[in-house]
Amino acid sequence: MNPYLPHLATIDEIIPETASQDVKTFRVVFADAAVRASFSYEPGQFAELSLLGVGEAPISITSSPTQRGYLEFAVKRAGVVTTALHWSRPGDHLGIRGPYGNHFPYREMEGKNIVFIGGGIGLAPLRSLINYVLDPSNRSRYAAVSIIYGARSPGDLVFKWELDAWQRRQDTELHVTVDRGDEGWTGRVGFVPQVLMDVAPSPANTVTVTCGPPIMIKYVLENLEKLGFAPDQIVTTLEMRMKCGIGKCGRCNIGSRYVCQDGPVFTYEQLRQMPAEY
Amino acid sequence: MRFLPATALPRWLERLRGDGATVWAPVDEDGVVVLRPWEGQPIASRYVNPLNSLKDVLLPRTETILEFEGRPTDLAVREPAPPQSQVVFGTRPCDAAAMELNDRVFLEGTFVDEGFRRRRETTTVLTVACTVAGPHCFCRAVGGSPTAPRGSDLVLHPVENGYLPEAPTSRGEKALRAASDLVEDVEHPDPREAGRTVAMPLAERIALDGLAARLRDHFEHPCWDAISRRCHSCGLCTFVCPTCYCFAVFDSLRVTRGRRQRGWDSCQFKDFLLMAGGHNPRPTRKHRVRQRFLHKLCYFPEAYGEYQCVGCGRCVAGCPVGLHLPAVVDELGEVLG
Repeated sequence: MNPYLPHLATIDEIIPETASQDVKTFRVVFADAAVRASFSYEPGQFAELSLLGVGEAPISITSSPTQRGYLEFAVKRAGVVTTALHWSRPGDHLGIRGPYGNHFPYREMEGKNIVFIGGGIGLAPLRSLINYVLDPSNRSRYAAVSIIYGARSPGDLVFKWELDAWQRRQDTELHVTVDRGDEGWTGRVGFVPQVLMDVAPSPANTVTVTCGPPIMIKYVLENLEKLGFAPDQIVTTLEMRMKCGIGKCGRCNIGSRYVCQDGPVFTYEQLRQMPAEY
Repeated sequence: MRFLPATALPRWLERLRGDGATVWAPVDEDGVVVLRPWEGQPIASRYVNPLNSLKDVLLPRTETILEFEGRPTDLAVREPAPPQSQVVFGTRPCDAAAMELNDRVFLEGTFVDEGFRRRRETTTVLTVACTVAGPHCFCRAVGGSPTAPRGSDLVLHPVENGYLPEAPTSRGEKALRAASDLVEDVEHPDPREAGRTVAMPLAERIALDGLAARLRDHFEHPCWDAISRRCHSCGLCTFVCPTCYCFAVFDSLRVTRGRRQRGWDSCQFKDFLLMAGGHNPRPTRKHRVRQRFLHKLCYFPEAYGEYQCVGCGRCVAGCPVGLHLPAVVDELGEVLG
């Protein structure tokens, strides 16, 4: 089978996320019932979204495998493909290849506390794992779950409808913060790495999963080390330019690892042994 | 041992072409020998290596990977037509070996690159072994030899007035059957032995032992600043290299029909890794030059157990600033010991 041939899917719903609408969530359904039934993925994997005539972009699957029948992709308008995708309307076709890459170590995380640390659109890949862990069929296999999430401004927060749902849960601790508030904002103000220090999770029997802009990651890693987290307790997922997504086009390597195949999920322990070219 | 007279060569290739295959052969174009689709023109015989490598034939500069048609709400996607069968005559053992290195990337692992596989399986590689090495050749330093059969379907060992054919694959044997009435039986010592005595001064100068480990240990060594300073990021080394396989993907659209193609790309270009948000993991020439040499000398060996270089010498001949593998290995050896 030609691995470059995408499955066709229909955009079912488009949910504007941010106030400026530079992030939208696309809920898509495969056109072919057999593909719909057979397509399976794990939290942390990505797919190549294909706008035929425009191009492809690797986008993390933000829905959880526990959500059946559709896939969700939260996409920030940034380049040629994502801009064209933002012009799409419900009912439009797009192509999907995947799922690709490794996944979050969700089996190894069973029995442990999980601290999610997300910034901006970086919450998108984490959300797949969050909803997987919080699903009634899985929740009892994990200990305490806390989520630290921040964005530049209240208008830049994504998945606000879901943040409310997470907030209401008794078994989940949610800390939402913004770099700068506005007149309507009554929540926390401060950078994610600082909020992490305020929350000060214990490293005992805990795994952290983080994704966000490089500057946030840099200080989150520093602060996690201050809190006593070992590099193998810190999991992150990388963004990298890709074409093929299947280890052939020679683009997304960091040293001898390919982000599309060996990643996008790496522990900080693994990252420290790789050239700092990410 | 079989013997194919040189005078029979055009007749043989004509028959292979008659079977519907595109035949490629080295032809002289204003003093430069280039692999071209052959239509009966004189075949060059005095050349070290064609200007373009076997990559031109097996991983074309551009090729269609899918076609599509329709409107946004009603699309159809289909595979391109299967490739035509091809026969390549006159490629050298280094280029043939290079295609086996590319096989490892495109055919091994979780995903098989179907387009590459189809083209590979419909291409017959008729290699002409080398009796001399050029000033830029260094195959022996990276595990090759002027007469090695790796990657070839047929190796034609040149002797006086003709060739001694050796067929490592059934595809090669089949191609030779088209010449069964032209081939004679002769007595001759093992022609592969001739490869051992071919003088290759550049290969003698290249010391790769232990270099990969030193490169890994000294990733941030300042020598990379000095080495990369003279690079123009022109990408020539990557395009002439038979083992460089990086590609880009681009779509073209004409109203309701279009195709997605891939084409050669180069890790030496500034925007190779530039992401839509503006982040570039390899923003400087130093990053990119180091990437190329470490890919060949460290990363590829880590993944596949062999260097990603066959010593064809095209980067040596082509680089406008002498930033080629033997020179860089030399410089690194001096600095890293």
